[in-house]
Amino acid sequence: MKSRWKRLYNNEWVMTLLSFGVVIALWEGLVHIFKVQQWLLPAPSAILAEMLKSSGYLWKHTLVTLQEVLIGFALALGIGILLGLIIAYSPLLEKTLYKLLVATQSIPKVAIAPLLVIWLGLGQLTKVTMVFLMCFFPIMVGMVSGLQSTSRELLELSEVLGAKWYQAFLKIRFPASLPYLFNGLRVSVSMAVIGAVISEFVNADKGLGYSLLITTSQMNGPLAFSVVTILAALGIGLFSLVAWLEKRICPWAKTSQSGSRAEG
Amino acid sequence: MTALLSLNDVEKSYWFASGEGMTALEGINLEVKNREFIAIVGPSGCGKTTLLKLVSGLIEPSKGFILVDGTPLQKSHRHLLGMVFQQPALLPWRKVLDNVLLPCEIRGQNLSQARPLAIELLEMVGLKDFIHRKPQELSYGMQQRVSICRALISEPKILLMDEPFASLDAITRFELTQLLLDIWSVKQTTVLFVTHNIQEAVFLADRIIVMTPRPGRIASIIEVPLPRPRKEKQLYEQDFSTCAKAVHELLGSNAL
Repeated sequence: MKSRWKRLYNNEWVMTLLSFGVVIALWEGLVHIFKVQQWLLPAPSAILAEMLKSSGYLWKHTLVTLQEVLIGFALALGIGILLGLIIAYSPLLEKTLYKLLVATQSIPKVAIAPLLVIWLGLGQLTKVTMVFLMCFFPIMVGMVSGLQSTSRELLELSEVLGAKWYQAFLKIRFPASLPYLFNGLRVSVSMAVIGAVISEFVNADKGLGYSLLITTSQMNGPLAFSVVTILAALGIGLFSLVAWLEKRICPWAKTSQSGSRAEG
Repeated sequence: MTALLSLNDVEKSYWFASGEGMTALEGINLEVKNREFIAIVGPSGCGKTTLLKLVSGLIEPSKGFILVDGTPLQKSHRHLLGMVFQQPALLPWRKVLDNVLLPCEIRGQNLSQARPLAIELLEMVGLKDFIHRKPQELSYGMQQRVSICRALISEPKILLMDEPFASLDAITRFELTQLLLDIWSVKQTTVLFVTHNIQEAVFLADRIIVMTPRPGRIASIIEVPLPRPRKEKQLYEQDFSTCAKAVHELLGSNAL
């Protein structure tokens, strides 16, 4: 009996779900006990009811935001990897372009959001660009540092073996860089949703960020919280997707997995 | 008979951005016969690794020249070389067998022909049951065995080993030392073996190159008189300790 409890305790999922459950139960209880107004803080049950009631409305706006996120992220992935490759292989570009890009990262991207509206207009392109700007940098840095971190031994080995540059790249350097790239991906995918929401805050007529602005201005607590819940779910979902891919593609990278505890 | 490998008055200097120079190796003269086991010992910074890199063709001498089989060292000689490093440097996404086959893949050799040899090598180092495992499932000592197999797959004439057992615990280290001697007697390759460990050098080598630092020079070349095949009990014999003492004194007199 005791060992069964211990197994449950050691199971990461059980404990995570349990802690979620406790927080939600407390939330539900406290809202009812103190009779908190709905517009201020709705109970989880009220949020769930609202989500079911307004599912059509929420679905429409979710699709808009999700599309911006996915397009922006895909662009950041493609361009980030490509630029990372070029920079890692070109000392000149590393000294010029790379340093320049690093410097531009000190600009808060939120500050650019209104400017993007001026430059790119009111449409989807502005939001996609914002997502791209949020995601691009960690991916590129991951790619560059991954390629630059190939061990000295492996580089010497491939040279002594007379490997062509593309052989060294395909068989050694690129696969070896994947854990670093995934580090970048995990950071950037959590930024992607933020980028879309910021951009929709600044100027939009659809999407979850827009919907959040409208519902809060109407003091519609349950609906606003529904939107926040969906945003959180989107973030967790995308992050889990990346983590799952990492586990499939480079299982030797131990960084993402929390170490399994030895039974005491 | 010409030596398999000969270094003639080889010097290697590095130039820093400040314009200052540093001589890593100076006046290196060395003849290595076919199938000879050479150990290179010396304190850190005596240019042992630089010497190996020169022979592997990764760097070129600033002065002097290197001959392989009587002809100047060039890129085409690389297929004669096998390299083993201090770290196993295996590719974690490849199975043990595929790690061993990496050199064949890069050189565009027929893999179905190379595979039986790879399996044979892995059997020889006692890893028959692990050929389909990933390197990270193996112990460090086992990984180093795999990297020795990877060096041997192209049937090199010269095996360059840069402190290959330095990161192993004493027991594993001696196991691998004996294993290396077995491999050497079967494969009949020439070995250049860099080490910090005097005992290891005496146990393994036909000749020991003792080097001194700043600039790296050969202080002396010592013939190891011990008979082969070498056995563990020789470690405790008089000849062994006499030889080890000789190496130690040479190193000691040159500020270890």
